[in-house]
Amino acid sequence: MKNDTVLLEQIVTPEKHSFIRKKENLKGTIWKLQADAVVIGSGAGGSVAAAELSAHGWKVILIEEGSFFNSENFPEDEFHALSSMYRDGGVIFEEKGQASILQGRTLGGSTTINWQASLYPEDHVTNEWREKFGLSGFTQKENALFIKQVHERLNVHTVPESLRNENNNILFRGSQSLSVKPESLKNNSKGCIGLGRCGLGCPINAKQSTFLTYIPDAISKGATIITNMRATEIVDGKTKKVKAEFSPHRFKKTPSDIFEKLEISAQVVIVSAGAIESPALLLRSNLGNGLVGRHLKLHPTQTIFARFTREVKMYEGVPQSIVVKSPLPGINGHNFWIEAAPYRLSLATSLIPFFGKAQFETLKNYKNLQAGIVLARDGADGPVDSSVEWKFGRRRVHYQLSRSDAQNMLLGLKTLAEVQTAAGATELVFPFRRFTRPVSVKRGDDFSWILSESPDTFFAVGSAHPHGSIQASDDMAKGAIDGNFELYGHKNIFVMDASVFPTALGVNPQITTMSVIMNRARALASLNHRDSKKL
Amino acid sequence: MNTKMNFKRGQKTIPESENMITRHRFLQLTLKASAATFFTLNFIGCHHSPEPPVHLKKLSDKNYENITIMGDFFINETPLQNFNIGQALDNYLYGTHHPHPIENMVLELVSIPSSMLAMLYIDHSFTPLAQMNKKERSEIFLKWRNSPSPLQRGIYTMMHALCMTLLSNEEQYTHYTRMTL
Repeated sequence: MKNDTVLLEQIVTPEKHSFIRKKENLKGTIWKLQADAVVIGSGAGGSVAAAELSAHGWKVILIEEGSFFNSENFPEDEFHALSSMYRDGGVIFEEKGQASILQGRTLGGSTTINWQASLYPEDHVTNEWREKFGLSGFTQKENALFIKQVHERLNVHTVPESLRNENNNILFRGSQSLSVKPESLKNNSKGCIGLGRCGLGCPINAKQSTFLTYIPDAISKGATIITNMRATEIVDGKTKKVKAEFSPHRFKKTPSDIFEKLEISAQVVIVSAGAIESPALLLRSNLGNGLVGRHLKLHPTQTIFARFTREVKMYEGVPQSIVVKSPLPGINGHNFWIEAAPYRLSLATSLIPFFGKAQFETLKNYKNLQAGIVLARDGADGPVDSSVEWKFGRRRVHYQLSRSDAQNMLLGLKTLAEVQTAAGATELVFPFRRFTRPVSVKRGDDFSWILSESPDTFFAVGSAHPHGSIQASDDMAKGAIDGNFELYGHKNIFVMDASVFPTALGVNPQITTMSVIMNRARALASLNHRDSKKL
Repeated sequence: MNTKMNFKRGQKTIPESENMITRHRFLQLTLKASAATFFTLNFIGCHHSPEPPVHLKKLSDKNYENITIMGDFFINETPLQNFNIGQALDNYLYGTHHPHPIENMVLELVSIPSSMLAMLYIDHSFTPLAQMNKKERSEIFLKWRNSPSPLQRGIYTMMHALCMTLLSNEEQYTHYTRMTL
């Protein structure tokens, strides 16, 4: 295989349009291409699908809406990173401001800017997929081959204790003293030295994002990767057509000679734009049944910031190395986990729910603050009442935390407050609206009052794990795609990203998305490539 | 948990009575339509804006005043000297080679303080925030902060997030928080 740097040079960025135009002797502003398969999106799903199909001899074109950032040009500060590498210029807001969602919009998608926690759901989740949605083959044992291959490619390993930072150590010490067993997390890095810049893109390429793994794999097998092209419409037919338009780099002057539009004809279309944009694309293309966009799961989070008398510097070191799982059985298999959050200043300032003087006083001596997050596995009361819709030319996200999910969240917040105070916190910033300043705390304080708070008292929930908005099922009354992830009613249009999960994962979704998509993409590739005319 | 469902696109989860529209629903729809019209026709504002004291790239004078109204509440008593939230918003939206990807949504949010129709829709009041004094505005923001209405809470949250995002882009803010990099 060629050197990865050489392979990455083959990525078609806007600067190369002029060269291509001359080389191919192309006229006009519309670039027309043909392929066996077009993959829309380069994150955990799309890059894996592209690598699999290419490896089986398919001619693949992958388009990505965001720009190509790597260790040579990642933004230096948080503000520029959020503005240029995240969807909606930083945060996707739920239509009524009830949730804020972080999602990557760059080559590699969220794998370029995530915090690396590498997990796979427990079997009760994947058993639920089989029993209620007829989706089989995904228990830890059944999917072991694909999980193993993903782990090997991404160098997934347990974070060594020597790299555990103080933000995580506080959770470790606090939970140990409460007899709540903390566990070590795995992540996907190689040569990490704990710079703590994961959310801005790893400046030393230690994080094994897809732009360093599956995208070079796809290129080495002949795939074409085109950045800065946003898919606007999929036209169904015997030969499909994907229409895309130029999507500029916000901080860079657009070259004078670019293709403003792209049209790719292909026999197969793989939609991998993530759980927010994939349904939006299908809806504006009028494709799919009424379940496209329904039951979006967020794996919602709430944060408690804790002040310590010593420096924590939550933004330095490996972001996440400890998880504290709920000691309780949970509601219908839905539970909470506690992890650390390595917030930098911009996100923390938005999350601290105060205003005026109290806000400034809380953020003074920021390095003494620790952040713990509670993540609730949503859907305890049945299908999550949330959706993505395309209306009046705009994508809209709706999310409503159910009563039992909120109850899980409150239980998690109570446990987190106990853990943080057991570790020596002197003040806590609760995510409840009624507080206008931090609350002084000490070891042994009783936080039972948290359980009587209501969801209405929450500041907006956060999420970095949107999934399940085009859920799979072998019954089209329960899903928008079938067990092979093919869109009902539209042959050879597949969805291959985190949208496919029929119930909430309850874990950080990167590894699950990659291994589940690899499973189905390989089946598609090996079944059909020998006789592509059958497609 | 998931019984068989066959949703038609656009079907609501809460069914409405057939062939009927409640008065509340009618009022809601009317106000929504009016607000949408207003947001697109920016010039229908009812408040005269003073000239901003800084040169702006593209932000309108009215929106400069609107974001200043929001800043007066969310980041009052700021220890940052010379921080101008209007100028920060202008830079945030237009200080790059290409405008912010959700420029229109941000402008919709920012237009609320001067919009009577927005206030009517959000707060059932005919008086825009821009026509209130600082104390009255603070009372409205505090009411929204703790409101039982998801809409009022949501607008408060988004305004809070916008003001804090603009603040956190300031270099002197990093120094203030003593965050070391």
